[in-house]
Order: sequence, then structure tokens, then C-alpha cells
Amino acid sequence: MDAQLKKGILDACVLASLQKGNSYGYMLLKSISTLIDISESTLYPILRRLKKAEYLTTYSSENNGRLRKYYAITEKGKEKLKIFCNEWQDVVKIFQFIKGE
Amino acid sequence: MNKKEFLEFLRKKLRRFKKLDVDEIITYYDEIILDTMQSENFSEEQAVVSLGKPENIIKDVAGDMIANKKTNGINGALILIGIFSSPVLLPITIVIITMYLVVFAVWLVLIVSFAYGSLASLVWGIYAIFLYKDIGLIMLSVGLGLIAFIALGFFTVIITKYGWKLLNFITVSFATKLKRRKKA
Repeated sequence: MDAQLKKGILDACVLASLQKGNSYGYMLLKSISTLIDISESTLYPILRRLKKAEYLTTYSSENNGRLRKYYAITEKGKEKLKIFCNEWQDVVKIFQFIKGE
Repeated sequence: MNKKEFLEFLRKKLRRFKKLDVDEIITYYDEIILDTMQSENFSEEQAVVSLGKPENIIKDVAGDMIANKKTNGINGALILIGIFSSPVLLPITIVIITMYLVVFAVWLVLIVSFAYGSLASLVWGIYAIFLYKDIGLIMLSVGLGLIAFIALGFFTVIITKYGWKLLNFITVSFATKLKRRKKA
């Protein structure tokens, strides 16, 4: 898949996954990798970028005697996801144009 | 590679980035490895292998950090501090500065002596007109003086040109070495 296209889609996938509930690194990878190819080293920069943009927050919680970092979507993140979904309708139109339908 | 070795490898390869950022990455991979082991029933080694080639991980993570301009900026003052705190760089620097000075001194001595020598030959050639009564001796002295003036003047120009080039070369190679060391 085109790198630029994939970047935007992956951001949305992470946010969509978090909208269903808070999650942690490994679980996010598992849920997204069923749809799209993603590795640990691609997920990390995405999480960092989304946190910096305040689309998600992090907290640590103990699990099996060790700390695990959890990610939670923010209101700003939910808003971003909505915008992405709205824009997608335009993308579909463009896609149809590209395909020549 | 077990988990400890892998995380140490990451830390080593990312040491030029901010410690806080690197710590975060280490924690991230530490957690992923533990979760992979737990969920897939993997050994540490298997979990590390499932992450892919360490070189590719470094490329991805470092690429992202560079893109975010999170590197520690190295300025002139830091280079100086680096030179003086490094057991290897300090002697190298002293040697190179000494070489620089020696080349400069030799260059200066040659230019001064050649320049004075050529001027002196010219002056002596002219002086010979008044010193000798014999036209043959006058012609010989003026001729030799002119030849010496032209030859030494030529040498002065050559030495200035190549001396300058040599000094530039030393400076550039020194700067390149510093840069390489910075990168390593």
C-alpha cells in the first residue's frame, strides 16, 4: 500500500481501536494487524505522534505483577476520527474517479 | 538474542538520542516482548525474533526520531568539550594542530627566504652596474641577478599556492575525522 495513504489509515485504525476501549501496545498490534500490515516499530511512532497531538493519553496499570502502558482516546482524538470518516466519503468519490466508474 | 541483549542493542544504537526518548522506546519493547511471550507462549528468544530484524527496527525508530528533530544538537562548544573529554580525540587534535603549525612555519620560512633572496639578487644585479667597471662583469651580474629573481619569485608563488592547498587539506581531513567520530 502507498506509504502516505497507509500512514493516515494507520492513525485512524489506532484511534478507532481505542474508541472501542483502552488498550496496550501488544493488543493494539493484534487488533490492527488482522486488517493491515503493521509492525511494532511502525506502531511506536504512530502512538508517539498521536500522543503529541493530544489525540490519546497514556497511563500505567499493574498487570501480572508488572506495569503495562495503556492508551486511551481523548475527546480531541474522537473528533479527529470523525473528521477522518467524513473525509473518507470524499476519498471514495476520488477512488471511483480513479477507477473510471 | 534474549530480551536483555536486544534492549541493550537498542540502547547502544540509539545512544545519540535523548535519554528520555530512548527510555520510552526501551520500555515499549520490553512490554511488547513480555506480552508476546505471555500470549503466544514464546520464549524470550522467540519473542525477540518475532519483532523482525533489529537493524530494521533501529532504522524505523531512528528515522522517526530524526524526522521529529529530537536529536541532541551538537554545536561548536560541545565539539570542544568532546575533544577535551575524549582520551583518543585530544591527542589526535594536539598532533594535528602541531602538524598545522609545523607546515605553516616551514611555509613561512621558505616564502620569506625566497622572497628576500629574489629581491636581494635583483638589488645586487643593479648594484653591480656601479660596482664594476668591466661591461662583461656588469652584464653577468645583472643577468644572474635577474635569473635568480625570476626563479626565486617563481618558487615563492608555487610554495604559496601549494602551502595553502596543504593547509586546506589538513583542515578538511581533520574536520572529516571529527564528523565521522561524531556520527559513529
